Amino acid sequence: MSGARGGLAESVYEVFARKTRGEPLRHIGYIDAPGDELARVYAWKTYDEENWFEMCVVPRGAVMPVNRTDGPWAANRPGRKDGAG
Amino acid sequence: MSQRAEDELKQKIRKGYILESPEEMTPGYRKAIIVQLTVQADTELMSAPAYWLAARHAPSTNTQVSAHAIIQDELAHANIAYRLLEDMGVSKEHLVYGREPNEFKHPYGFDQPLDNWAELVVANGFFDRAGICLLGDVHRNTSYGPLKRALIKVDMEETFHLRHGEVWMRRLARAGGAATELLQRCVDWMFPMTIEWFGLPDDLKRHSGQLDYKLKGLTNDELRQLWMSSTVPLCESLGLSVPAHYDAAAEEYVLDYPFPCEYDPEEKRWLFEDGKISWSAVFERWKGRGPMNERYVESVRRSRGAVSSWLN
Ligand SMILES: [Fe+2]
Ligand SMILES: [Fe+2]
Repeated sequence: MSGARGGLAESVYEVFARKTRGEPLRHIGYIDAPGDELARVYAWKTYDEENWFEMCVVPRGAVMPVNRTDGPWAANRPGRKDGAG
Repeated sequence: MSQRAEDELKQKIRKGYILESPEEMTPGYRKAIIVQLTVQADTELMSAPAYWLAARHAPSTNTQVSAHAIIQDELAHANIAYRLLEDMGVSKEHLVYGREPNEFKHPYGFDQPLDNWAELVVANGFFDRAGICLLGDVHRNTSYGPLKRALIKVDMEETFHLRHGEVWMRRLARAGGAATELLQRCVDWMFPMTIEWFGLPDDLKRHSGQLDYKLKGLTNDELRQLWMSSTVPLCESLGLSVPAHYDAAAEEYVLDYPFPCEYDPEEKRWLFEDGKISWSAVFERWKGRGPMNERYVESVRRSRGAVSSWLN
């Protein structure tokens, strides 16, 4: 995406985490990675400011907005073909 | 878009409105935040090679670890800021890999070589403190939601960088002798370097919109005072002399040297004796970039072309 070249092309992943049991999973940031496996590694290494109880990554292109028509996920609204990710 | 749209947005922001997406920005807001984020991203990115070359001087495996942990943080901070820019339609590919080294927008301080362990820890004590003053203010005041959230992590980590710098400055100051002399030499060039980093004094500053759009809360002079209010007492408590003092009557810190003044990067020395120079002369020096500019920029991107061609 975004003009990155060939083999080094990366796409965006959203990063979610919670600090402790009982806490909600929270959107804590995003990272660029060339694939799912490295996305997990980069997220864990980048967001190391806390001892997370749980962390997940989601490809940006998989997040579908329900009500908003703006922001980074707007391109994924059903019916739009210029999907992000 | 019209001036009216700009004024309406400023009005809303004054009442506490938080923007959540680039689509909500007016052209004026967009331009101002792109400038701000580019400076932020470039500064984080260029601090990494500066610290990385200096980390060779770490005196133990433990200090190697802490020095490299800081570098890792800085690269992550840079990535986060470039991602925010990319979400506004600005290409990270171009910003990082497409520009000439002298087109980067980081401060002149990160064009200088850090030649020994003392210089690295004073950089942590002074430059990272400047980062905390600037970004902490943005964090408290910014009207852009995604940036406010991104800065939570950054603030936490910068506080660790600062502590690393201060703890080591204290150790070197206590050692006396050669260590303290070296520390004083660092302070002599890095204190005025950081003072200059905060930019034009308020009485000369052209109106930028950064305050109207609440992209930050404090003016350049206020930020400079904030930095001095921590740094001057720290240095004084360590027995280090700094070219500034607190003026109780004026209730502010006052510089004891002609500001701004010329700098000799080869000698790492400020030419106080040559007196005050104009800010346009300072901008000329900044534009010409410092001795390490090309090396630092190339060190973060030199292998991209080769690896990219292997993968194609
Ligand atoms: Fe940083
Ligand atoms: Fe830092």
